[in-house]
Order: sequence, then structure tokens, then C-alpha cells
Amino acid sequence: MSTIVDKKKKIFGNIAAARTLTEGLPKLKTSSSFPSINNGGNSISFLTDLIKSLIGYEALLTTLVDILTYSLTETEREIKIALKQDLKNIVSCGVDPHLPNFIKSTGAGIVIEANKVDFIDLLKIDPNSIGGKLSYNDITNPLFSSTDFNTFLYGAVQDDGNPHTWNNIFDITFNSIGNSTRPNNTFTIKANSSYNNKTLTDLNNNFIDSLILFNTPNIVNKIIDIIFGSIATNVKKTRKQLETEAQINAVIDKLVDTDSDDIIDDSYFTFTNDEVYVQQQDAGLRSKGVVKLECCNKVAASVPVSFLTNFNDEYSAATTTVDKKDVINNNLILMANQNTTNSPNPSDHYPIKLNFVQQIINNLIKAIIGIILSPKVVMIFIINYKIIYGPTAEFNGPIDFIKKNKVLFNRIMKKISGIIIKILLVIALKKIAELTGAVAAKRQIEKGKNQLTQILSLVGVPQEGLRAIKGLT
Amino acid sequence: MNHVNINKKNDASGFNINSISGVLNVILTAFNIPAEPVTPLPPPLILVGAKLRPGLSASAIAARVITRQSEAGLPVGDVFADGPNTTEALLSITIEEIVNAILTEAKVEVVIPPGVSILTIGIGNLGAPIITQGASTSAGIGDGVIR
Repeated sequence: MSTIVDKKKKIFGNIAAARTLTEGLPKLKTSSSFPSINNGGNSISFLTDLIKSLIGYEALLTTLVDILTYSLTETEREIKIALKQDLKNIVSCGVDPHLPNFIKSTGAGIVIEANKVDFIDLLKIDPNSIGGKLSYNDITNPLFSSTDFNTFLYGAVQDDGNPHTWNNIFDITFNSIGNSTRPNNTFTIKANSSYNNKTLTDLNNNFIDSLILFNTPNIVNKIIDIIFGSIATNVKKTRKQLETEAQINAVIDKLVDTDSDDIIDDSYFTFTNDEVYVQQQDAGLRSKGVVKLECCNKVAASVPVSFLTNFNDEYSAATTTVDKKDVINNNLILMANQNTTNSPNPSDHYPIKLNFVQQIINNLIKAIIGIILSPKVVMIFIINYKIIYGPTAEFNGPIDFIKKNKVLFNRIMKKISGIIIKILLVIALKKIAELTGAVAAKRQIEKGKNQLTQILSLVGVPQEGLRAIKGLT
Repeated sequence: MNHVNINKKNDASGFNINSISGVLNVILTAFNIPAEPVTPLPPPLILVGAKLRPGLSASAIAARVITRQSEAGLPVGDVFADGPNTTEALLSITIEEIVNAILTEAKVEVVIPPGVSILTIGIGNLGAPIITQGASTSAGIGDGVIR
């Protein structure tokens, strides 16, 4: 039975053979330039390598723009279904499906420390700052009127001691000063009085439905920040925070790399010294806002935060889907071109741009999971966790959160990757069909020429004439 | 909080695109193009023309390949090869060995399917077995394999 790497090599070998038959000479290298040629289970990485070799920069960019324009709504819908299903599973562990008295509007509420809900230090970024505008949605005045829960929560933090209502679902009060029952910097959360006679599942479902998880600019901003640290540099994220984010990304990489049969054990959430070293290197580069391109003499590349600001402004101003698509396309081209500025060799520019587009597709899942790890989703899980396991129960950081919810994260990743894989697979199969069609046509022509030359050879036509018919010099 | 078995097995069809194996199987299937059988040559032509064939020549084949190797970006001859052209030497050896194996080791096994018309001549023997001499009236088409 062939291993995964054998099958991957066979596919690239088939393409190389088809190219040789149709175009004359091999043009495909199955070398380290295709890092996905390994036994890993990351289908997206493999498909982008495959498509990269089949269609090149422009077509891969068009694919990415289509994903960002048309597929994110479906992705958000699928994630919300998964979130609601997982919350329902958590609730089913409890005996009584009704809201416990302490979370009702008449109760004391659930107390959550701010740092236990904000794994990614989002609430330390002012939404009205340059980096904040790229990290929050719907930045209103006052902030607690926003339709984005993260922005709302930041607004609640700024209005210390005063309760604010989220969509008639939760009443949330931030207290910077603690007392005998709570430490400093806590949120006290109560269900709105309209939920006094409803179930926890109602509360969960309605809360998830009330959220806007992400939009296209969020995803692009997040991906560019993951790759280049553009926002991290602007908001001056600490080295510790960047290393935590590198850990999160490493766990996501491990989970994405799993095949359906793999057992997700504790090793997915612990790191070797080598892995920690890589994470520290990654954090160091992100703190400088640069990345070393693997190709092209390891030149440094960056996407300054102004590129993201311009993109977000243009996207907000665009009204139709076509206009938004153009904005995405044009700005990604600008960012791809920006990547080439430090490369003195013009022949490197094309692979750099190709690599840029591929990196964006490969980091889509990380960006979406990064947004799920923001307070807007984490908070409802902590509330449920505390209801089921008691008021002192909490998640010990983002890795613990992913570990304790690995079923959910695995399901979400499979859903996101399923959507992306479908799109990439259709493109790859279309291109392979074109290639194999050309091969079949070439074989038919070859077969016809062979038939003709063999017949002519039998009636005494000289070799030179036969070779001319077959196109041999 | 793990209430569901996330370690379920692959789709039995092997085409579950949620797994890398399924994705790879789908792509590999796309390369499978059924090959059409070759059209047989007219038997009378083989009958006449095969006698005119010069036969395989390793040196003639090697000469043609070496003449064309610049098409693959390889230097032709010693002058452009920066010393003895080992590629050409290897090509010659390879072709010699292949041709030698075909000429001295290959075997062609042919099957003539039943149904070829035969005209026989013999003297009647009142229902008893007779000895006849025969010749086919048309060229029989056989299917063969090289081994």
C-alpha cells in the first residue's frame, strides 16, 4: 500500500510526464520547492503546491480572491453550527438544562477575569488606534453600542463598574477594582432578564447567532499579521504574547496535519525543544514585522500596516460584491509586489509573488481559528464551563482551551478545510483534465503517425521520409 | 469535553476529501485515461513489406539520439562537453544493450485465431480418414506479444 508521500510524488510525476508529452521537456521540479511532498496530512498545503505548479501566480490569485469574496459567509455559517453543536454537547453533561439561578438576572452572576477570556491580548488594543481598527469590527461611539462583541466588550471595559447589555442576552459589568468576592479586572456576567425562564441551550444558541465572527478584511488582516507581524509591530505586542501566538499556530499546524484516522493525544499540545526554538524565532521575526523568504536568498519581506489600512478603507467604501472583489484583488497584488522590493533579482519576483498568494491560502485556517480564540467566542465557552464544572473552573491559556475543546477545533478545522479543499480540488482537477486531455490527443496523433509510418515503411518509403512525418529531425 | 469520537475511520470509498488520502485518491484517478487498442496493420502489407526492413541497428539508433541530444539541452560531441562526452558514451552503451537484448533474448509469441480459410486437396477415401495438403487462401492475422 502506497504511503501518502508516494502518492504525492506519483501525482507530481504524472504531471511531469504529461508536461513532457505535451510540451516537450520536463518543467516541474519535485524538490524542496514543494514542501508539502511529505507524509503530512495537510491537504490544503499539498493542493496549493499542486495548483501552483499547474496554473501559476495569476490563476492562484484569482482562486484566493474568489475564496475571500464568496466562501467566508458559508464558512462562518458552518463554524456557528459547529459551535452551537459543541455547546449543546457540553450542556448535555449537566443534569438540569435550565439556567442556574446564579447566572440569572437576579443572581450574583459569573465572574471571569479579563485575562482568562482574552488569550490574545485583544482588549489591550484601543479599537480607535491604527492597529485597533484592523483588529476590531464596527467601531462605534460609544464602543459598547457596537454590533461586534469584541468591540462591545472593550467598550464595557472602558466604562468601569457600569453594566452593559449585549443584544438582550447578557448583562456584562467590568470591574477594575476587586473586592472580597472577586479579584481585580473581572467581568461579571448575568443572563438578561428575558432569559429567566429559558434554557442554557437557548442562551448559547442565541448568543452564537448574535455574533458576527469575521469578514474579509478581518481574515486578510489576521493572515498578514500571522505571516509578517504587521499589526503586532504596530501595536507593540510583547515577545511573550507573540510566542503564545506561535504556540497556537503550531498546535493548529499539527491538527491540520492529521488524517482522519489519527488519534489526537496530548503530544499535539506539548512542544519539543526544537519546536520551541522555531516558535521563538517566529516570534522574533514577527516582532520586527519581517519574514525571511525561503526562496530567493532568504531576503526579508514585509507588508507595512499602511497597506492593510488602505485595503480596509477601500473595502469599507466598496458597495457591491464586484467592487469588493476588485478591492481584494488589487490590494493583494500591491502586497505581493511589496514582497519583492528587497529582492534585487527580477527573476525571483514571480516565485516571491506566487509564494505570497500560497501563504495566504495556507494560513486561512490559522486566521479563522485566531478569531475564534478571541473573547467573542471564548467567553461563552468559559460561561458554560463554569456552569457545568463550578465557578472556579477555567482554561489555563489558549493551548489548554484548544486541548479541552479539541473535538470542536478538529470539527471546525475540518469544516473550513473542507470548504477550501473543495474549491482547490475543483481547480486542480480541471487543470489535470486539460492536461490529460492534451496527453490523450497527443497519443492519438502519435498513434496515427505510427500507423501511417509503419504502413509507409512496409511499402518502401525511405527512413528520412518517415522521420519527417513523425516530426523527428 | 470530548463527547464525540473524532478518530473515526475513512470513508470506505477512499474518496473522503476530508482526509489527505481521499484527496490524493481523487487526483490520482483523474490521471487514469483508458488506452484505445492499436489498429492492426493490413496483413498483405506486412507480408510484402516486412521483407524490406533493414533490421535493428544499435549504432544507427545511437547516432540519431546523439544528433538530437542538443534538443534536451545537452552538449554534443567532446568539444562542447568539456572533455570526453560521457553522456554520449552511456547512451551508446544503453542502446547497444537494449538492441542486443531485443535481438538475442526477446521472443515473439503469436496466436492465429481460428477461422482462417484453408483450401485442401486430397483423394476421397469413402468416409475413412484421408491425408490432404492445404494452403490458406487469405493472410491470417495473428495477435502476438513480445517477451
